[in-house]
Amino acid sequence: MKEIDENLLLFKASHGEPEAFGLIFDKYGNKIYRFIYFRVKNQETAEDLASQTFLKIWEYILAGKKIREFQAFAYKIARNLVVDYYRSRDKEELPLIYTEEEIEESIKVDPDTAINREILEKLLRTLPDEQREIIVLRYIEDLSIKAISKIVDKSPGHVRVIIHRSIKELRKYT
Amino acid sequence: MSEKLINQMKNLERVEASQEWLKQARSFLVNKVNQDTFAHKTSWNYNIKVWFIGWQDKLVPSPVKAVSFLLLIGLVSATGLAARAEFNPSKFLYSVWETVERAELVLATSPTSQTKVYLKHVEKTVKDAQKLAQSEKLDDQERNKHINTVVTKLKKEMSAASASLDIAEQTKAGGNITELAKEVTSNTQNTVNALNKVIEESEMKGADKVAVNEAIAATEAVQGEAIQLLIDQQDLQNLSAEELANLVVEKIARATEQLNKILDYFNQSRAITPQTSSVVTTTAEVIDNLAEESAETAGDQVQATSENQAVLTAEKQATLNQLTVKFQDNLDLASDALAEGNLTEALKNVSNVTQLIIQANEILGETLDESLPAEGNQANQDNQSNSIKVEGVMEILPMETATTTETTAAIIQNNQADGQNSDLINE
Repeated sequence: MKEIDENLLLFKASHGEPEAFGLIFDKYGNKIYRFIYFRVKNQETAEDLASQTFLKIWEYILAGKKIREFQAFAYKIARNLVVDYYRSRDKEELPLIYTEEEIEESIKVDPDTAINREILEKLLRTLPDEQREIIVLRYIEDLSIKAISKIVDKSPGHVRVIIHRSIKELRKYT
Repeated sequence: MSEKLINQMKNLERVEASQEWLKQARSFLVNKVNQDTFAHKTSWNYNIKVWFIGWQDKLVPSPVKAVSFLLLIGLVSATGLAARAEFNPSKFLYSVWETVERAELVLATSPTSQTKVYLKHVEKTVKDAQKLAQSEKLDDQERNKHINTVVTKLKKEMSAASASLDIAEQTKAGGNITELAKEVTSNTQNTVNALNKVIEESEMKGADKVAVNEAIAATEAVQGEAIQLLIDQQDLQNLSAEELANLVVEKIARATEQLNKILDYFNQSRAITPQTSSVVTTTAEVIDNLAEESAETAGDQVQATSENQAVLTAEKQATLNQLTVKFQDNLDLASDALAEGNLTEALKNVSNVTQLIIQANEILGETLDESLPAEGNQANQDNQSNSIKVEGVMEILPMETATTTETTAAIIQNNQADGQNSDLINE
């Protein structure tokens, strides 16, 4: 589905065709969920934040504002919601996650063989937030460097550097 | 190794939200949208807007494409403007401008528009010639060489304009042919005036001057054709007879001037003999002298009095003598026809004069090319008083070739009164 189709669907939705927004959700629902999931490490929270993301998008459209690049816009809203989520949890207990030391000790993978999904998830979680979100967008969501740079508000060159560092980081586990 | 690992990350794409959540969230959002837009009324132009958004991507270019396109247009325009300003044919930008001109011709699809394009090119070429003549950066030799190049181009353009006008007239192409012919007439008039200025400003001599005069004669021929077209259209287009007659009168006057110039060169280039070295006061006398000499000298090789002096062979001299007699005859006939109101005949005779001038120019050009350019031109350049120095023989004073101080109309009136059509050329 092209960018222009999304604009058309958003226009139709704002003009009393709710199913058009449903189609947008069909396309981006899982993507946004995944993006949030790899940041918050919790399915329920991810689903909740993904719902909020689409709700925010709708409110934005309802206010009569125009969205130029829907994909970047949607990921940005999701990203901000994750940030808000962690801010609100600052005073609460830390999420239950694997610590880097634990993983470093326990994981060793052979890249020539198929790696278990759970192991891959664990490896991904070893990366710092910034690196992880970029690796998710680049290698899981298959977005271009340019598209990623718009989402994370960094230059394409900076995005490339982060990807390079992430790959170097992951090399430790092979 | 790590690349293989990172590629395996793609497998994490299988991480998906639960189907239950997807259904619930979708349903919730669709209901929310429905609820929020329930009272929304579809405007009359809704379908148009939908269509426009659907086609927006195809209709509106991306900013990068638009900027690139604008930059390209800007670059081409800037180059075009710079090339347009270039007047030196040896410069690269001049060839760029010639390419632009060729492109303009390709875009001109009808004979009418082609004629207009050629006329536009003629205007530019004439300006180039004028700028070259005024240029102080170039030395005389270089300047004359470039003027020659430009003038050759001008002749081609003028000829092409004439051919296009002819096709436009024959095929009854779109546009007003009469207006086009008037445009050609006016343009050729300006071109002739401009080329005369070029000769004056560049102080041309010898073969170079002959080349420009050839261009003038060619331009006159084109103007003759345009005026003939106007005469043919006179009844159809209610053209003023007086206006047309004035055009023919002007042509006769200019033909007379051209004739004087030819005679001037003739005197410079022909062999100097004691009989012809006397000061000739009027063009009429020159013609008479030439006619007499034609009979006397035909078939003989004229002796050169100096190695530096241009020499006409007796054959060429005889031809030129015959041409000069024909000039006079045709000018007489033209003024007769004009007096009778037969514009076509008058124009035909003037056109004959133009053709004769072209022939005479060719003969003089060949002679001057052979003799004058290297040394003869230098000798002329050294001589500021326009007189011809002949080593060891004598010095001829500047020839007082006749100039038409009276208007041609006045001359014609006088002729009609006196019944003497042969005195067109007055002192």
